[in-house]
Amino acid sequence: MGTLRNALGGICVAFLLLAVVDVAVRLGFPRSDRLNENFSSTYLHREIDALRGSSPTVVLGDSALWGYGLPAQRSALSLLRRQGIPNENLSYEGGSPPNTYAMLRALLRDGVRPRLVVFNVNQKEFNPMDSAYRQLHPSVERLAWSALDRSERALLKPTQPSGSDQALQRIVESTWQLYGMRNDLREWLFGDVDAVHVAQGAIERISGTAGRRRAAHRPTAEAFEGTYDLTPLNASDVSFRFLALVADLLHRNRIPALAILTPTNHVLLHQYVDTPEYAANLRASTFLLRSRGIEVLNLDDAFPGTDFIDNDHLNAAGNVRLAKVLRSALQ
Amino acid sequence: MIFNTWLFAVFAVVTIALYWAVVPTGLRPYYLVVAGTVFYAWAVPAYTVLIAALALATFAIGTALLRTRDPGRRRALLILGVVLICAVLVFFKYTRFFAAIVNEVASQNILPIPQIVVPLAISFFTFEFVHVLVDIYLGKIRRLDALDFAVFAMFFPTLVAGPIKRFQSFAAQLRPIVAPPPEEIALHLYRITIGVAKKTIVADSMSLLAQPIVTPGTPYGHLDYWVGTLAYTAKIYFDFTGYSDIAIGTAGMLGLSIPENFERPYWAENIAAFWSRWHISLSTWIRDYVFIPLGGSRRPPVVVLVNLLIAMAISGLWHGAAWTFVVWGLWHGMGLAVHRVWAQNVVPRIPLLKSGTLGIRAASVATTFAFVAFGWVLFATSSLASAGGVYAGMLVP
Amino acid sequence: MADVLSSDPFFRVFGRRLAHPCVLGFVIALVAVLIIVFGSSSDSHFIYTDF
Repeated sequence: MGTLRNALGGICVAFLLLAVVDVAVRLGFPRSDRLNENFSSTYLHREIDALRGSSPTVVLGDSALWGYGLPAQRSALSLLRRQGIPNENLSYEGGSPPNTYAMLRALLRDGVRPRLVVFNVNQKEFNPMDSAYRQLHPSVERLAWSALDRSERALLKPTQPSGSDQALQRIVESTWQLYGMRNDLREWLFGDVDAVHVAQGAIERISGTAGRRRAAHRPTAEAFEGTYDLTPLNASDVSFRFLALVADLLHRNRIPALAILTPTNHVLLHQYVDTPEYAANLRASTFLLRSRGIEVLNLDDAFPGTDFIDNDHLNAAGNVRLAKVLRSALQ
Repeated sequence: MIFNTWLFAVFAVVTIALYWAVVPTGLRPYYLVVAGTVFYAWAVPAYTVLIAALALATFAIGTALLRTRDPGRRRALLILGVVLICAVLVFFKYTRFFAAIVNEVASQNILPIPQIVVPLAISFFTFEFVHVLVDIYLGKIRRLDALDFAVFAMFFPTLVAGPIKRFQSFAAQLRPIVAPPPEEIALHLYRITIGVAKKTIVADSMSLLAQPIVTPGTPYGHLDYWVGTLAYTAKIYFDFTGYSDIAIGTAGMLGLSIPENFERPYWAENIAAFWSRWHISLSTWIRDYVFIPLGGSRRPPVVVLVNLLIAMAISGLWHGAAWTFVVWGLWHGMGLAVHRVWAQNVVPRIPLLKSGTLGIRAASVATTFAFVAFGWVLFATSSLASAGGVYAGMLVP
Repeated sequence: MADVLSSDPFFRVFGRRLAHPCVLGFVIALVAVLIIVFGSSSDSHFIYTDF
């Protein structure tokens, strides 16, 4: 028994020390301008918790509003914040109408009532081939799944693998804050989810691989063939149904909202988006939202091709222009 | 159940706690058999029947070997047992490979490529079973208790990926299983902790840097391939030693000692020394059950060199059913052969090489390390063509 | 079994103080934090489980 006592004693001491570290993380882990690239459900829960009792302007967008390709402080929403327009940017890569809806449900369930919700509508997300068409971000799914109705869950394809190990993993992540937020911690420390990515990036810059890869992946129109589904939008489109659910939820709860039709690179995507079908789908989205009293800001063709990194992500200059436009709209 | 999962952590903690706190000393071996069965069955329940059946067959043949004095009958029993075990291994692991070879030689799909799922750890438990039968035949094992053998076969810390145990030293610890003193428990816990750290911090990080050689094809440069090779060299070391640390530490927590698998192999001064320090339990198995039965070092020099190539080719093939592993084995076999000729014929004639100065030793370590690292490219890539692409990327300006 | 301890370099340098539950617990907690900070999420399976 002395053997067992020694081992258990050591494990208990370890648990105690880790619990102390956990408390420190809970109290002291900084909040950033936007969600991390690989944010955890633990971190998201923390962010939503921090908003409880306040009435913020909440932004629920996809990578376009998240500021893809740029550091956090150069995204349009961060610029707006520094210009005196406070907002809570809960956008992320992989956002879509189902994701916007799930986030809204989670916010309302957890006692956050925004004074204004800003979200974007990206036409590519109505394409059944899009990864976010009927899938939630894994961290959002973990947090918001229970807030959805059964019929809403039935429309979605769960991303969470099942199994005893996955279930245990989820239990550990929800009880051990430091472990649950490990990706967020690493991004805060290293700017990346893996410390070794920093070394990898340096090696690829020295060897020239980074430059060669960038050149090989320069966006071309052909690369986006099939990205935008031009069939008429209707209730059979799951993502469009969730857009309606977003609008209904906002309307029912009398929460003011501003829907942005996502800036789209018409120079690059001319053959796909300068078509009657695309325009009809934009009108369908606009009509759906306005019929529920949601203001719509059509920025679809509002930005020149030089403001884009690719099909729908703005570069630094584009984000400055977007911040200016949003500032006018929000004021 | 894999070691770096929460499921295994819970399983191990609960199993070990009950083992010492609740299970009477006399029942601990039975408890280990049950724990091992649960552990293995968690992954693929169907294949638990396979390992149990093969263990039963090995025990039956081993018992018959112990009872039989007639040399002819003993030889026949040994051949039956070894062929049966090897047939099971070959069927599950190599059928696809051999079918692909036949189709390639015939330049058409004569044989269908079967979709066979390889049972977890089959390469390890089959080797342990062969060892038991051969050592009984040679008189090195004089007693085969059913319970001892069952614990040996289903010992969960080594069930997935070794170390490949030896029955004699393992069974000797079972009656009774003595609780280690608290300091030793601490040592084992440290070992497990360090093992997990080796895997999750170093090995998994090195995976990213090794990407250029594991999945070549994107526009990588020289530096990427060289860094990738070094990273893979580090990855495989920390991955496997991390696993072995967890296995040995967990076995130690159960009061049982299992063979060490590594002894700072990258510090070896020649390739023969490397193989006495890398995956020791496998290399000693290959020595005892392949190289020595072929005649070992007691045959004419050329035959010994050929035996080295054969033994290492088999070692390579054991690692995987692919030509890259065979070539990797032959690479090391060639290295061992060259080293043997070098050590016996060249070194004695050159005083500088015999001197053992720091410079000579450093050069020896560096050369051996480079030889091994170069060979790992074959291990990492999925085809000989990919390996060729990596080597070209490293060496061709 | 005592040979294991005396031959282990870790214990030879730091002594049997390492066996104390507090020291043991501290080291385990420290390594756990290091794993969380520097661990990689890239590849979790063990190579030798393929063999």
